[in-house]
Formats: sequence, C-alpha cells, structure tokens
Amino acid sequence: MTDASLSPAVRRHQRPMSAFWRRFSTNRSAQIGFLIVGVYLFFAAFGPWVAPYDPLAGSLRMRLAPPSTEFWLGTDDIGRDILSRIIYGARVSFIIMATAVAIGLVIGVLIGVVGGYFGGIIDSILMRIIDVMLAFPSIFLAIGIVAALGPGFFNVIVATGLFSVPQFARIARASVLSLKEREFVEAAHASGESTFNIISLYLLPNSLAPLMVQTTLRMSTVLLTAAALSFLGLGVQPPTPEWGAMLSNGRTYVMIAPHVATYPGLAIFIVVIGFNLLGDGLRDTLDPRMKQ
Amino acid sequence: MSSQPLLSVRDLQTQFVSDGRVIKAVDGVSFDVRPGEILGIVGESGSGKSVTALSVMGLIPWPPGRVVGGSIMFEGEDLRAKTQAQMRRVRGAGIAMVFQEPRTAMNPVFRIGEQMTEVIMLHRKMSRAEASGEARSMLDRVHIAEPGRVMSAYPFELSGGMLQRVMIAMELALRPRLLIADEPTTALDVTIQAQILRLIRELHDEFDLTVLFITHDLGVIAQLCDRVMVMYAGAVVELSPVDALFHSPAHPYTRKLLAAVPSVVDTRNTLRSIAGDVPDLADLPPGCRFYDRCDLRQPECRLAIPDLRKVGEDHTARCVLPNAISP
Repeated sequence: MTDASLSPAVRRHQRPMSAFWRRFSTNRSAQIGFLIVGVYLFFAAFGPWVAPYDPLAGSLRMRLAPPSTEFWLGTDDIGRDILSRIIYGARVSFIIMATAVAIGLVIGVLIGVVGGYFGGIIDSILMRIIDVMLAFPSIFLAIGIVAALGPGFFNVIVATGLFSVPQFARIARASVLSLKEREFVEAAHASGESTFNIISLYLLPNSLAPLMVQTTLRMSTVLLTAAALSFLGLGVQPPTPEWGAMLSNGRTYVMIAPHVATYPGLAIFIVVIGFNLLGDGLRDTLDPRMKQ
Repeated sequence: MSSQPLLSVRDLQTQFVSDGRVIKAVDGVSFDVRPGEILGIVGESGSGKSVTALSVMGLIPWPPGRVVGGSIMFEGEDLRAKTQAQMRRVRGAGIAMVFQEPRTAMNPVFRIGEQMTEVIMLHRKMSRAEASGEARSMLDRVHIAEPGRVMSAYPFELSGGMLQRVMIAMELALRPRLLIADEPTTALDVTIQAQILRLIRELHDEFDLTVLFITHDLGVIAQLCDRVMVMYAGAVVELSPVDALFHSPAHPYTRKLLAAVPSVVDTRNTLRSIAGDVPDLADLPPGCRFYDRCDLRQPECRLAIPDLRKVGEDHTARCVLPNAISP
C-alpha cells in the first residue's frame, strides 16, 4: 500500500467487478464451465427454434436408427429424433433445476438467516430440523418426498427443492454468524438501523458470494437428482423429453442400439460437469481468502 | 457548566456470563457528561471503557452480556426503560458512535454515498436527493477534498484516515447531541491521528458537540479532553479536569499510568510498565482492586473498596490516601 495521505483522494483500485473478471478470465476451468452452461442455457431458451424435429412425433419406420446425416444422434424405440429430444429436454431440466434451486435458496436462506441472527432456542430448533434432513442421504430424501407426494414434474421440483434447503440454510447461517460479529454490523446497530435493514442491507449482501457458489453447484446436484428420479420412474413421466427418463428408456436397448441411452447420459454428464466447473471457478474467484 | 448533564450514568453494572462465571465488566460506574464538554475515558484493555459505552447505547449483546443495574439518563430520559424500537431512535440521532477500526466499520458492498444517504434518510425527514446533498456537504465539513469521488467509492478504496473522516461525517450528519468515540484513532498512524483529533476538536467547537472520548492513550486525552475519567478493572478510580489529572494525579494507578507513558525527553527510563496483573473480574477481591499492584497500600485497603473522595475542585479519586499523595 502506498502512503495514503499523499495519494489522491481516492486510490484507483480496480472496481470489484473488473477485479472479478480479471481473476475469472485467468481461470481456465471456470471458462470451460461458463461456456458449457452458456450453450446449455441457449438450448434451454431457444430449443424449439433450433431442434430439427418434433421431439414427440416418432416414425415407426425409423425405430432405433443409428446416428446418420438425417438423424445426427439417431432415433429411439418409437422413432423419435434423439437430438431434438435432448434439445427440448434442456428446457425441461432447466425449469426443474432453476425452480428447485430457487425454492431451496429462499427457504434455506430464510431458515439460516433467522437461526444465525436470532440464535438461542429458535436457532436450536431450526438447526435440529436441518440436521434431521441432512441425516438422510440426499437421494433417499428426494425419493422419500416423491414417494409421499407421488411422481410427476411438479413433485420432482418440490422434492429436489426441499432437499436443497439444508445446504443453503447452513451456508447462510454460517455467513450470518460470522458477519454479525463484524464491526460494520455493530456500527449499523449503533446508528439505529432496524433488524430488517440489518439483515437485508448488511448481512445478506455480504453473504452473496458463498450463496452464489452454492447455487451454481446445487444446480448440478438437482439436475442429477431429478434425472435419477425420472430414471427410476418417479419423476417426469413419458413422453416428456427428460434426460433421465430417456436414459431409463434407452437402457432396454443398450445392447442393440447403445446410442439411445448414451447421448442423454452424455448430455447429463456434460451439463453437470459444466455447472461444477463454473461453481468451482466462482468459488476461486469470489472467495476472499484467495484474494491477495 | 452547572446546567443539567446531557448524559448521567449512575451505578452502572454490566456483567457477562462465561462458563457459568459472572464477569463484572462494569461495576458501579457513575459519571455525568455535561453539555458541550469532551469527557475522556482512559484505561487499559479490559478496564470496562468500551463496555460502558456499549451499555449506554444499549448494545451489549445478550447472551452473554447484560446491564444488570444502575440508571442511564440521557436528556432526562431513562434509556434502560426504553424498548428496542425507542432505542433505535436514540441511536444515531441522539447518541452517535464512531468505532476504532474504520476499515471494518463500513458495509463493504455499498458505495460510501449510498450508505451515508441511507442512514441520513433513516433519521431525518429528507428525500434521497436532499440526503445525498447533506452527505456531500458533511464530507466537505470534514475536509474531504473531493466529496463526489469519495461518495462513489467503495470503502476498500479509501485509506483508514479517510474512512474515519467519512464515519465522523456520517454520524454528524444525523445531528446527534452526543458523540461517543471509541478509540477512533487507535488504528491510525500518528500523523493521521493528529488530523482526526484536530477535526473532532473543530467539529466540537462548530457544532457545539458533546463528546465522550474513549482511549487508552493519555497523550490523546491531554490534547483533546476537558475532563477525564480513569477506569480500572470495571470501576472509576479517578475523575478530574484534564489539567489537574496531569499536574496532580491523586490515585496511585493514575500516577503509574502517567509514568508509563514513554517520554521523548527522558530516554533512559522509558517503557515502564505496571507490575502485577489486573484482578480477575469474575473473582474480585473485597477491597481496593489496585491493592496487589499498589506501592502505597494500607491494611484497610484490603477490607473494603474505598469511596470516591473529593481531592480538589471537581476532582475525585477512589483512594484512602489521596491527600498523602503529592505529585
């Protein structure tokens, strides 16, 4: 640090955003993740305009056709174009993922902030509930919720959303616990800020970085779990083009037409990798301990 | 100076509970802050200075801490009887507080201007534009050269001295009647420290501001304060006009504290410390708290805590022998 009293009024540091981009742009795996997620989001948004065929219309003459120039990734057991189904499936999985993570984020952060800020008996009760949820392996928890609610698109969202609550709750609580001891929060109390303002203007904005990282990483977990539920027949029902359901359907023909199961599986694999790389990259760039 | 005190603290008791032990961080502290004066509180770490300030603000975190006794009268109203919602109106607008470490005392994610505007709007009926104008003019008042640029900066872009000015500007924009400054210069280097002290003195004159100034640095007290209160182990040991304290300290602890200030002139005997330790605040002796470290202790000092006795004009000390001590 140069002599502050001699330097101009405001030292020209890099702005937070530009510093963020500088670090992000030197992180190769984060860029790959960003690229994959970008392509995925493009298909989720514009799928219907770029897909070559109707994902639901099959042609029995073309059953289990291998990849060709006509059907780039081949066709499935009732002659539907697998590429078109994967492209449409991007939207299905994105809706599940985004809604479920949003549910987990909102409920989890609420629980975590209330527990962390108020402490005492409220915190103990909330955290015991969270502990109970964490005691189940996450896929069992999701299966249990779906079993209780019944299979279906909407219930998969509820199940994967609820099973994301503990992770967000713990991260929010940990952030609030450390932030509320910080001097700027004490200073906010001393200038007469209300509890609501302290939470919304001081605690939440300063917890954003870990929550963003968790949101990204959680996307991949939810995608994988939703696909697993569909694979088990508990999730999105046919004929909706969902990757997990497609994989499950292709399983039957894996010996005679391996492409039917391989490509949906590959799509899941690549997108999960993409979100993980992006999440790890964000953690590296946002984590204050990594800053010099 | 004979008018009603602005802040009147009587027999304040603040305790913390830790592992089932009760720590008496502040034990029976009484003092007045008179309108327009700068009262200094001096003492070493753990003497209860900051806890006293936080008790006045109603900001002792429960658990583990709690104000268990005494009264805190501000402008004739008992702050201990107020609800949290009522206290929020006192904090900032009635009593404002400036903290020790300016780099961590501002919200890192918002620009200076946004934070100042927000707090001003919280306490004064102003539109966003008016509040922003007020923030700008207050920054100007604390001698910040380019208020516009500072307002659009994030806290991490400013130096510590600059941020402390911003903090002072932000608090004074609320037009408080009392400013509590809790070691506001301790984290700054000496030249910046002098600038901040000069600024506080200047604002005190300009706004007729009453200041409660907490520090462990007697040099700062000498430069800034009108009166000074010396604390030791959670209690007041001496309360005196600043000149009298430096010329005729009455309590043995005050004398040792003065002797411990490094001198530039006398370089042979610098870096003196006070032998012994502060007593355990969870297990206080029945008598004088300074007994173990005192050179002038008497048998009676062991038995009961001495009262604050008058030793001069507006000057009291908690010692059985104040008149026997001469500077």
